[in-house]
Amino acid sequence: MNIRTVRYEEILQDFFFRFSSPSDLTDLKASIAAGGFETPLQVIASGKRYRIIAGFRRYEAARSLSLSNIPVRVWEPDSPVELFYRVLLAQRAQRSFTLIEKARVLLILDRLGEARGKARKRFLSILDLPFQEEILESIRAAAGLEQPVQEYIERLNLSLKMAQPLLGLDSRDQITLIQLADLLRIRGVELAEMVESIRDILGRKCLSLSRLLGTEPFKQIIHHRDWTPSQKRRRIHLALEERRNPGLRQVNEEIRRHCDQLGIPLFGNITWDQTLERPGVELRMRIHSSEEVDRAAGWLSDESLRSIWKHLLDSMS
Amino acid sequence: MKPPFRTILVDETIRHHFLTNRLLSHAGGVRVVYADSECLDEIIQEQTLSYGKRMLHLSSPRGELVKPCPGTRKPYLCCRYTVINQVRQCPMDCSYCILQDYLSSPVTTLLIPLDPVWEEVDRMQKQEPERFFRFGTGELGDSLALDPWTSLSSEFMQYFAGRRNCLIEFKTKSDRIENAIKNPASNAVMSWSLNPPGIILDEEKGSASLERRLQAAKRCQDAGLLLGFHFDPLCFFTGWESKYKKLVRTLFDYVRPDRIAWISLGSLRYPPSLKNVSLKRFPRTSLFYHEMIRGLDGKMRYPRPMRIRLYRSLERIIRHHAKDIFLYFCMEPPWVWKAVLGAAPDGNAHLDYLFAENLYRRFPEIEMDEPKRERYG
Repeated sequence: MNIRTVRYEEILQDFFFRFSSPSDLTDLKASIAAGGFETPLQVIASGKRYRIIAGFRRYEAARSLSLSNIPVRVWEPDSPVELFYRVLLAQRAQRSFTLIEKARVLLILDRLGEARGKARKRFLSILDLPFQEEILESIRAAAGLEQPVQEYIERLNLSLKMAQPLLGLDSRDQITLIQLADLLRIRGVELAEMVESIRDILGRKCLSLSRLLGTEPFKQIIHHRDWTPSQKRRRIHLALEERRNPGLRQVNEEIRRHCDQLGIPLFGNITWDQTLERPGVELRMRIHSSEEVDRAAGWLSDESLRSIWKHLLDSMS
Repeated sequence: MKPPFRTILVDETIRHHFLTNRLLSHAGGVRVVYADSECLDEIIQEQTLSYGKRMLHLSSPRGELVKPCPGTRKPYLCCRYTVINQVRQCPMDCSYCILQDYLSSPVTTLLIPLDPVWEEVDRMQKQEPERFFRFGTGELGDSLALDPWTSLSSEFMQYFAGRRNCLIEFKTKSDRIENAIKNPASNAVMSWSLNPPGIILDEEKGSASLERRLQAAKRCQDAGLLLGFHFDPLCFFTGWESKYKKLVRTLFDYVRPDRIAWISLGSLRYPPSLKNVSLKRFPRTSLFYHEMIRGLDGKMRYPRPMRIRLYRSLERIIRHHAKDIFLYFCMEPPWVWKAVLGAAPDGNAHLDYLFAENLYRRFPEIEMDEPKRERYG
């Protein structure tokens, strides 16, 4: 290992070991411009040139400052895995990795031939990942998502569970969805739930997401001028639920209709489990006087309403 | 018969056990790896489920081997079944199978030896001597999928034969009954999970066809074994009603109602996390796209009115062929029982009692004491 200065062109541009996403360089550039490099880039020799292992942001800052020379610490090229391991350990001490970064690290390990055995296990512990191939496969797939989707996942620091539904969408649908998420300020769990609903509808109707969102009422909701993002979100959620569970919606509407026909007195109301998993309804009334007791009792024993009650309860099963 | 595995992983500690030797003697052409458990665990963890299904792991016992079926939470009723988890995972590959999500190991594992199972069964029966126990090996795997190579069914038959106040159920989607019918025990129930041929073809990869299952059932019946059938998972699909009707008719073309110990009905249900796992492995399945709600136990299932419609339709046609058959629901609340059958058990213990009472009344060949309602909770 030695420290030396190399020319900018001597650095390989393949960024083989890069796993973090580009970020704002303003402060770093100011620091380098004022006092030079505090820490050299870590590189390994590759032929007559050098491959960066750590220091991609510093490299980019140097490039945008048009510096011709860059200080590097050159490591022996025979142990890139070990070096990469140390770089990750150092980074892990400062912050936790995003899902996208973990995905990129796994792909780097695959390319380094570290896809199997004990060697990989220690990498997984740095990444806080279980040694389960099914999960690792899903994480790797996150690195294949469209760039704006990756940025969205990183920006909101989504977990695999939250990002999983996005993995099943094609490129166009991914972009459409992220644009919508940004427009309506849909976040993590809410987005995952929305994608789940959409996938159910699409699976049934063989539609694409982009096409579904281009139909009514979604089109109208998304482009409505007077509604706030939160109002739009709520309306889209309801519209999706109606499309996802039309049978359930129909039964619930029927129950609602029967409730209206009952003409509940005393500002009373009827509630029920809208998934219909629990049978029956709950009737609530606020009674203040003995006259109101009589009124409630009269209403409950009204023979003319009996068939409506019967239809209401029958419609639940 | 060629085993459905490419590799067999053998834990060094059971290398010389007779079950290991028996299995390996039938496994010509399969790669065998002997190693310690730590090393084997590492190999296993690296497998995906699809690849893991082509591996068999012979391991020393770990975890609870015999335990009450986990069932599900109240208000859903469960039957107090007792599961024997000697085999974990399954070489068959059903798109809706909960094991894809439930078990952490992707490799089919057989735990050797069997003595801890016998000890545990003994202990449980001693603890509740007046209860009739239904044991089953088909909870975390298929009871007979490996039987041509393991002959486990013979071991279980032999152990349970003549044992009082209990029975053993072998639940399968295969037709691998050769060992089971050699020495049939009067308290053994051979049971099959049934679905129309289209569902079997599309969603139950690696399982036997309906015809082969029913032919196997008939052979078991002819050998004197009791039968059980599980219409589970019942699914909605185009033409479901006529196809289930035809399925029930076909079933009774093969078997006699008086040899059927029970028939269960259960509709498709799964923890929400299964959906993504399954869709990734079976992108063409449409099972998960139907209307579903999150049940009171957190599992996804069809809305109650739809399930009731499904059950009523099946119940009607089953009763047409077998009026007095013992019919029960798997993981349904009492109000679904009442809506379909007109009555519901008071609780899980009562359902357990109803099983015992049905068996006592209909199958005198089972050596059991008359069940007393007050002794079941």
